[in-house]
Amino acid sequence: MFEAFLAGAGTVLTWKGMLYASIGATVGYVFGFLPGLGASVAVSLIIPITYGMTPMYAMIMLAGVLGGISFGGSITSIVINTPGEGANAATCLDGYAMAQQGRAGEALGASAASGFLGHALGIIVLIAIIPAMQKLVLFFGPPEWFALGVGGLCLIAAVSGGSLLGGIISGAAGLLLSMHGVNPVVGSPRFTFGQMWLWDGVPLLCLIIGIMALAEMIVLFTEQESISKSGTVNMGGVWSGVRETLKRLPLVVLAGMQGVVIGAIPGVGGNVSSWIAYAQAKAMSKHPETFGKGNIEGVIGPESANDSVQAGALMPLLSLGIPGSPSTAVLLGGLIMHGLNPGQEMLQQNLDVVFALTTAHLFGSLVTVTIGLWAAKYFAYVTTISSRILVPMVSVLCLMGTYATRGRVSDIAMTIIFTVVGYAMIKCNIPRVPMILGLILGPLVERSYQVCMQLSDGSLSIFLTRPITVVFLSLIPVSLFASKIFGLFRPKKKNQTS
Amino acid sequence: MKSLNRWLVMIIGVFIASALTVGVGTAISAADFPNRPITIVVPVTAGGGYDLGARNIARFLPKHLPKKVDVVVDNMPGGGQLIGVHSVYAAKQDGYTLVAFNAIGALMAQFVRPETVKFDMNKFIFLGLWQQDIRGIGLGNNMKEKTWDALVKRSAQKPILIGTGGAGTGQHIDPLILEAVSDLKLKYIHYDGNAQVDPAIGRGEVEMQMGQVSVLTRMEKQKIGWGFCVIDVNRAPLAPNIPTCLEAGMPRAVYDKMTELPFFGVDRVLAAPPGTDPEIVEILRDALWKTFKDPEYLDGVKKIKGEDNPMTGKDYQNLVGKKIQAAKESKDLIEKLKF
Repeated sequence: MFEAFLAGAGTVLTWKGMLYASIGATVGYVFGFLPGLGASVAVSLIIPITYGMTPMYAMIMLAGVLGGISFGGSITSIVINTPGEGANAATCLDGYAMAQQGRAGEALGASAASGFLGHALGIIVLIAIIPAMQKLVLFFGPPEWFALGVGGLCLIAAVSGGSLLGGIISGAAGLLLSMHGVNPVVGSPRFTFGQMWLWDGVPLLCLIIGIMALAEMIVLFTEQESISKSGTVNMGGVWSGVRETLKRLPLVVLAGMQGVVIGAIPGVGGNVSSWIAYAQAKAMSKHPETFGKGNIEGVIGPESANDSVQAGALMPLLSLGIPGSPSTAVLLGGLIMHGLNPGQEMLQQNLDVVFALTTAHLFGSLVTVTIGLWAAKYFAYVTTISSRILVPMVSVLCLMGTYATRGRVSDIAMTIIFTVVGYAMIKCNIPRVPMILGLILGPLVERSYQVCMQLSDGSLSIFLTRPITVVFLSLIPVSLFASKIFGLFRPKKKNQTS
Repeated sequence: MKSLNRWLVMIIGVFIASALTVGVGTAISAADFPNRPITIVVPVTAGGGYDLGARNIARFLPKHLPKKVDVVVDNMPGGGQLIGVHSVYAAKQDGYTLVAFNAIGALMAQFVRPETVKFDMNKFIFLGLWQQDIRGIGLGNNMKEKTWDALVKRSAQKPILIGTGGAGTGQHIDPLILEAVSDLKLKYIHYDGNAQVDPAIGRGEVEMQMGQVSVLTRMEKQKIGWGFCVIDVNRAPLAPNIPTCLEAGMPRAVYDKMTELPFFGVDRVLAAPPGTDPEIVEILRDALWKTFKDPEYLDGVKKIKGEDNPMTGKDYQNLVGKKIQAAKESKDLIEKLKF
């Protein structure tokens, strides 16, 4: 195994390997940065460029793209409250609040450091459990997904700020939105009003960009001169963000481990993991009351999970030859076109290729973090630009992003509707994040529940006979009061802002 | 009066000139075809079998066109491929917008859910079929039945749990048809996408799945199950170790009934919008057929674990006509498929 590691990692660390991984990572960085153009689009566009390469270097370049993608999305989440992908949405809450306080540099530094550490942790875990990887992937079935989804819905309490009733209303609206589209049991369209563009449901990106980014742009345009309320930005904050992250290694590790596990479940992924990490961070924090108001831990937790989840998503790919996420589905396509077939055969016969894939993935993350740290101060300046210039630019970028994802005008229309809804929610003081959680978790809860009912002939006992499900469900009430429980073990201090 | 006549002559002249220009333009466009990039719309997300097949065609088709232009793939997923198919059905009939899709799925939508469809499969111009999937039955490791009779007997005791990637997908329709023409009893568990079925088999949650041969070989390679049979009279080149359904003991009558039905299987085709200029259609059909025989293209087919069983556009056009006729005569089956 060690020889295979040296051979695989060695190939990536040649000048040619590093060059290809860096090109891939830079492409990933740019695509992550542009809202809507996520990892799947980046990988599918780069595949034709790899046709002339050897399979090994093609794979290194494709893995570099995936390694580099998530940090790009974090930048826009922090600076302009616009997540590059759904998985970056949790970073908006405290990242953007920090940007409004003139601390964008600090948030970007924390995001880069926690993202890289989460990524490295994920890859280390992935390599460490190679022999048992398939068992881990097969460990979680529909009852466990259901418990995870229900637990996730309870996060509404954690992200509702001061308005629990508003959070429940918003979360319920998100769940209702998740019901649009094809009914998972009978396969027929549901709540589509005869419109084919609603068959695939409400796109998460339209909701996030509408109620978060564009609604915030209206507020910015009507009420503020620039994102940074003081009109200044602390340029020394980038390294301070890195230092703050290193002081919170337990949070990075916990969120990262959770990200790897959730990433390993096909079809769940980063959208869920980053919110769970947000709740974890809040529960572990000495100052949970400052979450949503610019607590750096609200950036560190989701970013660590968001990056480690990508390593987790490689597990189904490497152990079963099936993709764990949309981006690994495209990666799998690219690998197959080059004659590489991930799965048990590759694990047994081409372990060096597996190590090259993981090393290139990590190297891609390192490249983008390096570029990101260097460029963070320039990005932070965006928060001082006059709203009269910034708002039209960001709005166009957002609408282009929603259109580019699927090439549908209906997506632009939906985004505009959600913008109006989001602005109304801001004015009525109704939290917006629960609506996003409802849309993300609704399908997971509904579909896993339906599968459970099909398997058990409608008996709810299926949730009580699986040990992991029982543990997950039992942890839900604990998680609801986690901050109180953690608080009991902490020495009492005077309130400080984190 | 004179001036009015002059205006009239001028208007008529402009009209005739325009008509001639358009006419000449059309003639030129056929003679000059292609002179800009051709787009293949793939109505599913990137990364899957259709996408890989279409990209393999897009890579080598330019070699065989009269003029070398780029052929690009545009993923337009949604509505169980219907959004992309509708979009190309209504596209400009100039040969620059094509669609790569599952003709059987679209045919089924036309007959089983007509309210969702605004196209007529008979009117599409088929340029060629690049793959007719060889389907098969895969069983989990805890299933030990080696023959068709044993499988039917086991299903009579307790319906076999079969995993699908969702209601209405090929993984669901094929076993529905198999059940309709045989004594096999199945219980369907619908997962959220095909990627969740393999792990379900690995966990022992479901006992069976139906899919293309590469699904069966993947199950065997990942050691989560085994190939019970392929639905064909010959063994599949990709999986010569897996017996045919007839070798596994499936009655010939069941096989014949199943494969004669218009909605069984997956036909991966490339088509142009109705009304496309016949000369352009001929150019495209010819280039596509040459592509199907190109050794580099075939190497790509091997890599993506595809089947090499293409059909010319003309032959497939005829076959679709027959399938439509058969569908019109299969009212009972259509009722059964309205799950």
